[in-house]
Amino acid sequence: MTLPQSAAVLTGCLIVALSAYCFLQWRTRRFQALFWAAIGAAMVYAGFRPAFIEWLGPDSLELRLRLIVALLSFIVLTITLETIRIARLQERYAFLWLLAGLLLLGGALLPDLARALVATTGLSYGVIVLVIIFTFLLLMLFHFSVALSRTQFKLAQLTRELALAEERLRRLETPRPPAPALPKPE
Amino acid sequence: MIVLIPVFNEEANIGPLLAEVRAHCPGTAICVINDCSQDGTARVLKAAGCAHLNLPCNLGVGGAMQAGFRYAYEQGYAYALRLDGDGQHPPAECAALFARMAQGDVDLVLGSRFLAAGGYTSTRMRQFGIAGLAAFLSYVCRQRITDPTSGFQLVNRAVMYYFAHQYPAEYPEPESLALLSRQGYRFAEAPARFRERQTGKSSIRRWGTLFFMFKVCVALFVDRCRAVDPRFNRHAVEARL
Repeated sequence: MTLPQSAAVLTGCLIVALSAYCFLQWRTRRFQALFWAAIGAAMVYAGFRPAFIEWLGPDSLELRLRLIVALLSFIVLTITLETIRIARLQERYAFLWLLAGLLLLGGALLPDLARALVATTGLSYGVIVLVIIFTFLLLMLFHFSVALSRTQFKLAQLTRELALAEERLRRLETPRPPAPALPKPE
Repeated sequence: MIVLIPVFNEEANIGPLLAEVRAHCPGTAICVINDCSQDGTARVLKAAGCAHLNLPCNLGVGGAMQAGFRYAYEQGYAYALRLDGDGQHPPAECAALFARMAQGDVDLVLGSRFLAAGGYTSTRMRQFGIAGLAAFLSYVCRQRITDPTSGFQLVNRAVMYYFAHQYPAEYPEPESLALLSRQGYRFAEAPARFRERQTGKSSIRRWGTLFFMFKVCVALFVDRCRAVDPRFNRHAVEARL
């Protein structure tokens, strides 16, 4: 057994163990735990039977990249869905991340799409993947800049409102003392 | 008539300035906008017993002034005079601004240190920057402006209403003039002698001057690209008041 094979088996075992633990402890949704257990099992199986990988497709850089991208998309989707579930992420922002996850998934599942891009642009598959991810990240950052500006604007409005309300309260609370005698202008 | 004074960490200056304002403009209301100072400014203001707005977050001079204009508008004052909290605008100089406003053909009077003989005119570097900015702003407004960064301003109720709703955030003076001219408001300059700030240090550093110029020019350009908001047009606002 070669080193990558044993690494795959070990990682697969770890994933299976973790998902089983989460499954039993109700730490996550049962469906997700089963899903990750299946991935772990597949890794263990692929470790013992390298032919399994060849069955997925020809052993090439493209396949490895597709596997990595698929894994990435699963991670993004899982984290996004989980964060929405525990209500830490507003849907309007979650939408973008879901889109990112689905885009990655599409890139992994539909190699023809990527191949079409490769044929049109003349770039290699790996470069295309990087370019798409990079573009998407830039768009996302821009979206956050806009959102941040909007938030800052609202914050400034609130700050002013608060200061005005506080002044009004102070005026109501303290009875005005008689106006002090003004010093004579020189 | 109300005097609006934005301050940020000016505990040493604000007391004497308030006394000076009371001496030279007797009978006017004062509202100090404390832009979340970290020193004892809030304590001094409380002891002074004048109206003041304590902003819970630092908004910069633009955000602070917007609160001040809003206060002045809501309290129903006819005119608002803006002074800087560092004491570089002597309240004694406000007579020229009032005289110009009394002519009745302008909505905002700008105190210009370059129209007045003598007085403090800031460092060489800054003068250079101001001259460039003045040329560009004069072109944008189709009107000669000598001191675009002056915060020594007297505004009437229409401008107060406009500024209470829209006011640029950072280094707002030049940009606000461009916005005013775009919305059809009229303004003029009046000579005013400035002083050097009394104590403390300026919020604009030396090399900040160039960056400041650049930023303001970009802001002026961007404002030209934006659509005019008809709600705040001079005629619309005057009809509403």
